[in-house]
Amino acid sequence: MNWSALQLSLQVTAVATTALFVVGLALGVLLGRYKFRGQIIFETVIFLPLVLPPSVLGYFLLLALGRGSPVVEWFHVQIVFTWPAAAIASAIVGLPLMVQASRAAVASVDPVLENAARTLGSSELEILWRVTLPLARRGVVAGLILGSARALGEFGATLMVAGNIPGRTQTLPLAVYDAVQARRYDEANVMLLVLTSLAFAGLLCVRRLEQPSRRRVDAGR
Amino acid sequence: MEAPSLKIDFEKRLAAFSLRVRLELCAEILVLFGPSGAGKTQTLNAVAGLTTPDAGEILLGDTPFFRSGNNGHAFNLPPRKRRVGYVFQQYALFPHLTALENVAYALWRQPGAREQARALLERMHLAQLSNRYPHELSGGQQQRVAIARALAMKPRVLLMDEPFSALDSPTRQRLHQDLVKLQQEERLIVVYVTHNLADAFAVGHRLAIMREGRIEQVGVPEDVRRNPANPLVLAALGITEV
Repeated sequence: MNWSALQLSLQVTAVATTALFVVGLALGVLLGRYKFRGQIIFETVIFLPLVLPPSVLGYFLLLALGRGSPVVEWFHVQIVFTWPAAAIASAIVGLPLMVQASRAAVASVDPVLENAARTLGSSELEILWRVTLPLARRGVVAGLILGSARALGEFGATLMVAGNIPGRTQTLPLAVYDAVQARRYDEANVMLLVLTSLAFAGLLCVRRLEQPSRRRVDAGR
Repeated sequence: MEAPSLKIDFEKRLAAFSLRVRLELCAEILVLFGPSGAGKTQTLNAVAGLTTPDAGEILLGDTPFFRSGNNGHAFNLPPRKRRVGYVFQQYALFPHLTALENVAYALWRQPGAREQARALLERMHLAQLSNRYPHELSGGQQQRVAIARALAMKPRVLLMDEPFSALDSPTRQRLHQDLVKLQQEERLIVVYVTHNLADAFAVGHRLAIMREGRIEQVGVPEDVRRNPANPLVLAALGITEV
């Protein structure tokens, strides 16, 4: 077992998941509750990573984070070929899944309930916290699991923007590739088992969350 | 202490017609009666602050809720600051909270919120059901929780949108009696929206007939029935069996 790759994968996925939760949830609420000009274009851009070749995405990230980019020129932050670059790549490929699920979950909350909360003295932030998110939580959690599972499995863009440096940027999917190339099949098999189990468990959780709950969560009638 | 009056005088353009409402209410139950799509709910929403009128004024005593200015600037008090109780058509109870938590929702920053909520539920004859979730309650029970929840903020104004339309007639009768009693005890200004004439006559101190965004006639229910102001009122009263 390649322990450093496992540790790095968990580290990258944890950071990516945190970013997914914050950014993905904010975008889900924005798109699920508000209408604004250019919304379709904005949404399409967020969903692009679902269909773009990973190499294209990786190249975009190199342009955005590499030499000559504003990040390097203005902030003097060098993150290309480090594990934070892998975390960014993972978060970006997971984002569409998180946004899609949380947007649908937020949009499914009956707006009358939010209006009721308004008349009961709640501010918009309070309504989000006490009404909308509690009612949308299953969809939000499902989206977060899907997004993190996708982040954990990220390969192509990570390879381009973070490289494949053992012990530094080599995550499990990259280590599997290396092991198979080098015909270290025993090592590959163990990692295969770990990645497949995690993916299976994640998807199983999502399916469970999609089942209707015992407690009805639609508007009481 | 004299209860303040609620002055409603506004206009709003809607898709089908333009809504123009002028009403002055004191501590009473005013029934807003008319067919579906007459603008009744929109009127309640304007008072609650959930829709913004195009022009006019809504005042509770000296407190302006809405006031349009000359140059397009309007003063609009947000709904959370109006302290207007609103009982929605489908109850709109929070499905993830128990009856007690629903009633305590508005009180959460106050000490003793649960005790206050419990007292309100007791008053609505629901003390033994306080730990049930909305879907575990009957329609009538849900409606009582919705009323208790609206009362938790100690409102001066209570808006009710077809509150009892989905309930069977004995339940309805009991709730009507409770509402009349509650209005007297609390000196509430109640606006009660319905398209059911029997309901209108059962609770209304005054009746306002609404059609296509206009108030056609306002008066004591019996007077309106005896002396309809125009053929539209006659038609409105005739459409529904008493």
